[in-house]
Amino acid sequence: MKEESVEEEIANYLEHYTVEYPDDDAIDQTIESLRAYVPEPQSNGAAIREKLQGLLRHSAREISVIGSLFWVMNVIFFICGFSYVLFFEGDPYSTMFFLAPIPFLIGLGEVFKGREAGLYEIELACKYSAQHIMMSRLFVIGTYNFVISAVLICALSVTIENILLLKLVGYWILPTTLVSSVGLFLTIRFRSSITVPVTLAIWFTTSMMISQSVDMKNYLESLSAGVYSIALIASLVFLFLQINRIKRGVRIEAND
Amino acid sequence: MKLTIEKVTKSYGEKVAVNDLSFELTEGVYGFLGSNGSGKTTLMRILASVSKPTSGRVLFDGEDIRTLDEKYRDMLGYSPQHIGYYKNFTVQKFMLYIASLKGIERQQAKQKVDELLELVNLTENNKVKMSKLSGGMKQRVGIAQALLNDPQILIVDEPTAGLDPKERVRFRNLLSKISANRIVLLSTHIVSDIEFIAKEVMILKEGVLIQKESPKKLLEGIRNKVWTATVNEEEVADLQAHFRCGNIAHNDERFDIRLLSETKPHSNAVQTKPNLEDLYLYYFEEDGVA
Repeated sequence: MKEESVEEEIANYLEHYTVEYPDDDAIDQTIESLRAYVPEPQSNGAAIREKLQGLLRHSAREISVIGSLFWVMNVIFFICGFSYVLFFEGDPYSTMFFLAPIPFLIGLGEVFKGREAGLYEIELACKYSAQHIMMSRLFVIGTYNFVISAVLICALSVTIENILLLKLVGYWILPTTLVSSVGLFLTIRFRSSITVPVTLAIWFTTSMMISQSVDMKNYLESLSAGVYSIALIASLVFLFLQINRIKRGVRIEAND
Repeated sequence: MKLTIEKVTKSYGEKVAVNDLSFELTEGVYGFLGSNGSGKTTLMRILASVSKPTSGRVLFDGEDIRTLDEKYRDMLGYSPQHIGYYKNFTVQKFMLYIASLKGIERQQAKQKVDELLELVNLTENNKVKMSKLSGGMKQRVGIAQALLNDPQILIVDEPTAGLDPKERVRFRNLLSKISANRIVLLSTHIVSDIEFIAKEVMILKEGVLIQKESPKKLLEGIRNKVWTATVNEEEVADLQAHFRCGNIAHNDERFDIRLLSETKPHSNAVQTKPNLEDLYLYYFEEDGVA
């Protein structure tokens, strides 16, 4: 009985209890006082600049980690390609088409080598985590692919008469984006020790078949600029999605 | 400094590796004890931000470690159970590489690497390729790399596997020495690793935390349950079949046997002071009886 009356008394008290709200001036004053502690939002430009600087810094570090075989092998491939066109009258477009995605495909082994070597777990727990590392290595091999291909395009356009520069660029850019995105898609999901040789073998076979077949070449060259552009945009989007996947984090074990 | 584990569950499909764990950790050494598959490594990986929990969260001083992201990893040192490496790396290059991933300036990193390699007794091996190191040496490199950034939270998963007894003592002393101002988490199934240095022992079984107490309190729980007896060969088999048995040592023609029992298991049996090995046996009955 006593408890009930206490509860009733408390209920009655709370019923008539009013909360005094601060007036507008007091609220404004509090907001102004706290404003000093609110971090300044970074401008878009500054944020992008900072990210880019970080990427370049990490990439510079990762260059020393990428195996010398990667650099040397690709240079040899491209010198062989150039020599083939120059001394054996090989078709410059087919050669460009064949060589275009090779550095990126070989480089995928380097991007994922932390995972394959079992170092990924330590890398994930570091300040600059495995995602940073992979993005940096992707940047390095992508840039290398671009530079080495650009050098070949320049060399071919200087040494071969009547070469169509735009056509040469076309033979370079689509296979690079398309095959690279497929290679990346597979390597995110499976071990690079399997995907790299498999994608390289498939690409060697496919590109050889295309370059040997006059009908196929004619068909590809007859494609309109619109179809080419759609294919290019689709492969770029697919490539971007794979890169985004890496940014979000790649699985390190089948059941994780 | 406080690390809060809040209702953390990790499932792999149907299998629940860690089940609804909640506890708090402050400065000091914590020993995670459990048999294989008890969820120790899964929990360590979650705390090291290597793996995401299926549900629940981990807070550092009240902030989610996922939100802290880089800031959390900056104060973290993690040595996984298996140390991976790039084959062409020497010990020194490996350490410098990890130092760069931890954001340590090159000059400072060189000095720190030298210090730590000396601490783990690997100075003379700094030019040796990682692939040429023995298991114990790799383990020591793993510990050294975890300490590079002077971490506030140090997580070491089965760190003494492959270390010889002298190295293990050295490692225990090292952990004890550095634990004053940081949270040290040590997972092991070797009880002597944590017996003398752990502030608290956490016993995991099938993904569930079944005990979290100081070693002293845990041992109190099995006081009067540990016995030793000197018996003949036939009796050993009989005792093994009915009780959880620990060490069995040959003593002339007979055997000294250590066992756990609520009641006196043998007419010769005398009660003895329990240790963490007995405790392990007590909680992981199936392993012990087998």
